[in-house]
Amino acid sequence: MDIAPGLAPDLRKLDNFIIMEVMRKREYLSQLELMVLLSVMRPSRDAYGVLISRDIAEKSGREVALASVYAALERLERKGLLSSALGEPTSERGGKARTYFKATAAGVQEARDAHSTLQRLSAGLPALRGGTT
Amino acid sequence: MIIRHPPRVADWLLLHFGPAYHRESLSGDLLEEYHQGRTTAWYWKQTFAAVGIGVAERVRTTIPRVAASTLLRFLTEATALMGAIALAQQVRHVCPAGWFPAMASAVTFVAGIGLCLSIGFYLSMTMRPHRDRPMGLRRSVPIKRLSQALLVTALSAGTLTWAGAAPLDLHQCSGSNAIPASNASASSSNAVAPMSRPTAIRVWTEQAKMATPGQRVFPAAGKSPAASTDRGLDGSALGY
Repeated sequence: MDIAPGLAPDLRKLDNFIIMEVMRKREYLSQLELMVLLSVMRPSRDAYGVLISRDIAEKSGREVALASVYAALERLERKGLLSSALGEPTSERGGKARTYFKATAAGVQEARDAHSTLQRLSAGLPALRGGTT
Repeated sequence: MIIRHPPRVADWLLLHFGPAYHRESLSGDLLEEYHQGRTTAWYWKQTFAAVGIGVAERVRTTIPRVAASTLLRFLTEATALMGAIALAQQVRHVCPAGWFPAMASAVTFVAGIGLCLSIGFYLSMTMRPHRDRPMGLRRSVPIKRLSQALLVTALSAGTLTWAGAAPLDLHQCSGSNAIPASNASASSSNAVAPMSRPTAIRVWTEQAKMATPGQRVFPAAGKSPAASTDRGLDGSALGY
C-alpha cells in the first residue's frame, strides 16, 4: 500500500522513515495503565489515588496496591496523558493533601485508540462470546 | 471517637524508602483508608509494596549513574597517579645525584595527589544534577562526557609520550645535578651521545642482530662492558 501516493520517490522514503521513527518511539499502555486512565476519565468525580484504586478493585475484582496505582499515574503523567494538581490538606489524612488527576486531550485520544483497537481485535472471536474456541 | 494511628515504623519506611512521586499524597491516601476501617496488616502490606517500588525505582535510576561516575573517577585518578609516578621515575633516572632528585620525589608525590584531587573535584562538579551546578560548568551531557573522555585520553597520552621520549643515559645531567666524578669516571673515556629511549632500543636491536653467538651486546653504542655497569641483554639498562 502506498502511504504517500503524491510524493516523489525520495520524499516517500523520507516519509516512511518518519513513520518508522514515530512507531518506534510510541509506547503502548499496559493493562494497569489503561485501567487507571479509564478510571481517571470518569466525569462524575475528581480522581485521586483512593478513588482510582477502589474503582479498579470494584470493576476488575482484583485489589491493586496504592503504590502501583501511583506508579502507573506517574508513567501516564510522564507520557503527557494525565495532569495533576494538589488539593487542600485535610485533618482526616493527617494534614496531607490529595493529588487530583485529570486526563489530557492526548490521554483521551490514547484511551479511544486503545479501546477501538481492542474492539477490532476481539471482534468475531467465538471464545469471547461463550463459544469453545 | 477514637483515632487510630498507623504503625510508626511503617510510616517511617514509607517516608524514607517509598517512591518519590507524590509521596505525601500516597501517605495521605493510605492514612485515609486506614481511618475508614482498613486493618494494620493491610497498612503494612501497602507499605511494603510502596517500599519495593521505591527501592526498585532508586536502583534503576541511581546505579548506572554511580557506576559510570565511579569508573570515570577511578580511571582519571589512576591515570594521574601513573603520570606522577612516571614523572618521579624519569627525574630520578636522568639526574641521580644532587639535592633535586630527593626533593623531586616528594614534590611529584604531592603534585600527583593535588592533581588527583583537582580532577576528582572537577568531575564531581560536573556529575551533579543540573540545577545545583554553577553557571560556568553547565553544559549538555554529550559534551560533558566527551570532555571527560578527552581529559583522560590526553593525560594518558601525555604520560606515555613523556616516558617514551625521556633521555636514556645518565650523561644528561649537567650543572649542579651532574654525576659525581667517582661515578662518571668509567664513562668519561667513552663519551656517548645521549639518545632517546626509542633510538637506544633500535640501536641495541641492530647490534644484537649483528652479534655472533655468545657475544654480549650492550645498549649504548661504543660502550665497553665495564662502562655500562655490567647490564646486558636483560633490558635493565633501558629502565625496564
